[in-house]
Amino acid sequence: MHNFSQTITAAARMPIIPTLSIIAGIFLISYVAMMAFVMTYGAMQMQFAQSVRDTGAHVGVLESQYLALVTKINHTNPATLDLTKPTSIAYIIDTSQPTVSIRMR
Amino acid sequence: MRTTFRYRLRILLGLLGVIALLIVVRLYVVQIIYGSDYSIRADHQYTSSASSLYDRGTIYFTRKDGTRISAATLETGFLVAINTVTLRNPQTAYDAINAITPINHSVFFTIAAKRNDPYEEVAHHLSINQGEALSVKHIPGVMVIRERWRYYPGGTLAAHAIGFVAYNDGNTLGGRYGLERYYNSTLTRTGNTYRNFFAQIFSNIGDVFINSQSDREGNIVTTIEPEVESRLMTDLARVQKRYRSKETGGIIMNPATGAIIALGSVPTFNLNNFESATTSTFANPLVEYVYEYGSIMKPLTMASALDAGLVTPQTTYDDTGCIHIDGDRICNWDYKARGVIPMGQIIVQSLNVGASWLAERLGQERFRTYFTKLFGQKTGVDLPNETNALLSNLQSTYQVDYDTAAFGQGIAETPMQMIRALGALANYGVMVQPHLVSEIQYQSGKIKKLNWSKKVPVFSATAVRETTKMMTELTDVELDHGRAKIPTMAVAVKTGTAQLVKPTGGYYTNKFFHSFVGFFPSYSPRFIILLYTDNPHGAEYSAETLASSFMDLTHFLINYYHIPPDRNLTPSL
Repeated sequence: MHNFSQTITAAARMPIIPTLSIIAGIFLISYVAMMAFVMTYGAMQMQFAQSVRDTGAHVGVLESQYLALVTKINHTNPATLDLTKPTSIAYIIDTSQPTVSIRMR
Repeated sequence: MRTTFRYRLRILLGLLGVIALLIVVRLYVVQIIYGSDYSIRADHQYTSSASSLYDRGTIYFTRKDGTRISAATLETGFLVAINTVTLRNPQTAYDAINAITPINHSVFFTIAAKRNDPYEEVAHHLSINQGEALSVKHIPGVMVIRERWRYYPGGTLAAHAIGFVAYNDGNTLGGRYGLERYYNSTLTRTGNTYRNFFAQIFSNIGDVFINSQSDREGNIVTTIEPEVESRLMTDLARVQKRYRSKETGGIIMNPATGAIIALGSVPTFNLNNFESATTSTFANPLVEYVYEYGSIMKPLTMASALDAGLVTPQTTYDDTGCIHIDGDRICNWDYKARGVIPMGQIIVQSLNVGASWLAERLGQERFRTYFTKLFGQKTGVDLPNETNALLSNLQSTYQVDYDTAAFGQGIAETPMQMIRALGALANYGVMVQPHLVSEIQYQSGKIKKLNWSKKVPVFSATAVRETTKMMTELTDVELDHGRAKIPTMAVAVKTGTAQLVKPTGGYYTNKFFHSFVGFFPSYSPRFIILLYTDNPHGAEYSAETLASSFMDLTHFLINYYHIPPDRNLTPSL
């Protein structure tokens, strides 16, 4: 037969209600902490993402200016900048270089 | 006592049940029936709405030094919406908005006249400064909401290749043309910026650990060099304007790798304002249209005959000026006979009779084998809607069909197929796979280098070298009467002029298609350039319309990439 007196004695040593209250308290604090973490993390993630997007948009504008400038240069007639066609063109001669070799022993 | 307690307990339970039922009904009404409306109203209380902002991957150009420049990115700004329920003075609201960004007066007041409409958008794409300036006025009923949209910093630059994002019939926003379409699944963003890891663990564990969104979605990096692209587009526009052509296009490619450095065609359109362009301009002629190119086909005929061992550069033939075959007459461009001449003159003087002679030496079966290898398949370039070449004449039993194909008439190819085939002459006889995207940068940080190493050997290196010699002689002796020659750089070229096909059959005698191909340095090419212009006016031959543009691009590329001299000559002053 089961000894009820031993069980009752053990239960008397560890009060059930306070123990459960402490565990519930720990769970509640953990829950609140996790909520706070998730909310803060979410907010920061959104802020960073928005910051990256804003910077990306700004870079896009600068890139647009750069590409417009390149196109403008290509469309510019050199004569309008007081540049004239060269009267003669000299090409660099591709002279042969002395051979360099590694001395082998 | 016990009965009374039970009775009270039941009353309490019943009350709780009624309250619970009321809460459930209220939640149903709020979340299900009016959920989206409340969501919008809540969202629009803030100038910074972030939850539903549009997101999409970036497409990059790559400068020669490896720097990335956005070809397609996202712009951030604001939209303006009005709430007719809370809008007190429509005229004041209109004046305030119109002072910052012009809006249509009648459209605004039509919207403002609607009753009980909590949300109507009246202006888009305001800059951050404009949005903030309007926001601080706190006009009742006017909402300033953050928005993002697709933005193309280059505007018209490589418009056909980049493509754009638009709504389809199903009202879904996605890539509709060009790379935007081809790489849509990589560029599309399926999730929000904010991702709750804990929630993901329970709801979508597969996405966290196995097939992560960040491993599927990313940015794409193209091989297009923005400054070269700009130069090419400038030259194409110049030809198009000067000769009032129907269309002008070009491709610049690295013949060793197939990496496309620049490509485009005009008429073109502005990617940031594609609504104002006609739909017909959206198609990419470089992969979707086929053309008969004329004499730029002759080097391929020559390389085929040399590769087959049927002729050598020293072989001669008797050029009679015109020949009759299968009841048709084939003549040189000037109808003049040259007498007994060596093979090189077929290329240098662009002789149709000579090309026909080569086709006859090759025979129908061998000719078909070579040209099917060159043009029988799509190139596999990473652009949508690539079409096949029209090679039905190569199934004919009439020799005249092979003779005309030998000088680029009767068969039609896309410009992409043409540069791929001609690229074999600039790559030791091996065709490579043209491509625009070199790598994908996934959001997880992983970089995937795309494999474009598929190669198709067509000609022997010797056959290609002999053909290249002939093309180089053309530049040094014939092009602009030898004035186009670059003393320190061997440049191989070929011009082409084809008669345009009549819709009713046969060919026009006064309408032409001009083409031009060239690569340099001739014997170790860095670039191959293909140019064409469809139905130009005021010039009969491509040497007039396209040679100056080709030489301009050649000099630009030599200077821009610091390509060293490849032949040793005394200085010419």
